[in-house]
Amino acid sequence: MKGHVNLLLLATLRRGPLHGYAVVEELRGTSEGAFDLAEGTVYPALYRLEGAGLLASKWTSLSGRRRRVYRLTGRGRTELSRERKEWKAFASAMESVVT
Amino acid sequence: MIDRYLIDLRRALKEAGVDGGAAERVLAESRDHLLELAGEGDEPAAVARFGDARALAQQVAAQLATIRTRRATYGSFGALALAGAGYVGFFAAVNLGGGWPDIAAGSPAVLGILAGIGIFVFPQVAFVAGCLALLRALRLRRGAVLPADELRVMRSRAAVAVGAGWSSIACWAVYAVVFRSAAPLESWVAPAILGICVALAVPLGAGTIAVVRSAAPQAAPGPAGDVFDDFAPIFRLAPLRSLPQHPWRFAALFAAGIALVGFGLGWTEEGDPGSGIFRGAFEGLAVLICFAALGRRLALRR
Repeated sequence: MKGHVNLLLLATLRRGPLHGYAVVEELRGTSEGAFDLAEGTVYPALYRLEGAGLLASKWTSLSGRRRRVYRLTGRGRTELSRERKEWKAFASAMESVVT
Repeated sequence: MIDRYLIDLRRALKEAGVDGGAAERVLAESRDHLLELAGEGDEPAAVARFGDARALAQQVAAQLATIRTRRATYGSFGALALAGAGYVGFFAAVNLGGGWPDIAAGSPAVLGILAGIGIFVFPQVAFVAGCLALLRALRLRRGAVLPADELRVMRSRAAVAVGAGWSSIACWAVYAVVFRSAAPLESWVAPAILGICVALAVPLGAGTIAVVRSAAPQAAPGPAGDVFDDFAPIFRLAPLRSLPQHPWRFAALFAAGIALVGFGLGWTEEGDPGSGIFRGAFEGLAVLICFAALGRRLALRR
């Protein structure tokens, strides 16, 4: 999973903005437990993607608690599309070799 | 338990060089996440699932160091591009304002000569160092977290570039003051040059602050490449393949190339080969001196 964290996070955020906890929960739920990120480590990955311009974030407030919500940018959608194509090509090639 | 964890996280972030707004953001997001986790169970379990505070702080610091160093490199290159426009403005002001006075005609003469030399040397150092910094940042733009030594090289190159940029505008300012009454310069030239210097101080100041800030977060340990990695496709060509093992041979060849260009420009501009030889020798020697003085700092040699 380590080499595909970018793709997993971008894909998780494609349906709409989420905060860090929700990203981890959504990823765990969508993968039926196969991808279970260590909770705290999602934040350095989100900061990296934001630093690269693939995500944008803003503060919201929930019951007096500050919450940072992340969303895909246009560049993020383009990068997601590119990484999905690469993944499909890779998966197809692996399938051809191992089956 | 969550409050205790956040105190530990704050301390670990500070030790890793992350403070101010960046630290407050990490703490606020961590608090929100931990409270949601604890909502499903108990606080000790939430803290255990969230992960070690020190490890998280180090990951955040490494990420922040990479992000800030990249931004500082791009930002300082942008500032230097503006300084380059200012350089053109400086030359235009002198050429349109009567032409170049005799280099020894300044008051005091020594300052005028030093400023005259600096006007030619420092912008070239800024340009080369800035381009090298940008080249490395672009070459490594896909890396998630860059090792400490790579970031140090990028920062050093950006710092040398910005420093040379400051030295350039200092030399222009000194030139404007020292030659303000020297014929054939018209009276408006000196204020115009000083105005350019003041205007350029803003982007250069911003670039300086960005480079300084990028040094604070601790990066993940790891080695850096050198200039031969930056230009790897060129140094794979057969005639140049041995140069990475002989950096001084590379420096000598580069200096000879620059000297040849300087000779050509000097002869063309002044109309006599003697000026060309003088300029070529000066430029070639400047390259070798910079390679000796700044070679390791700019990762031109190990």
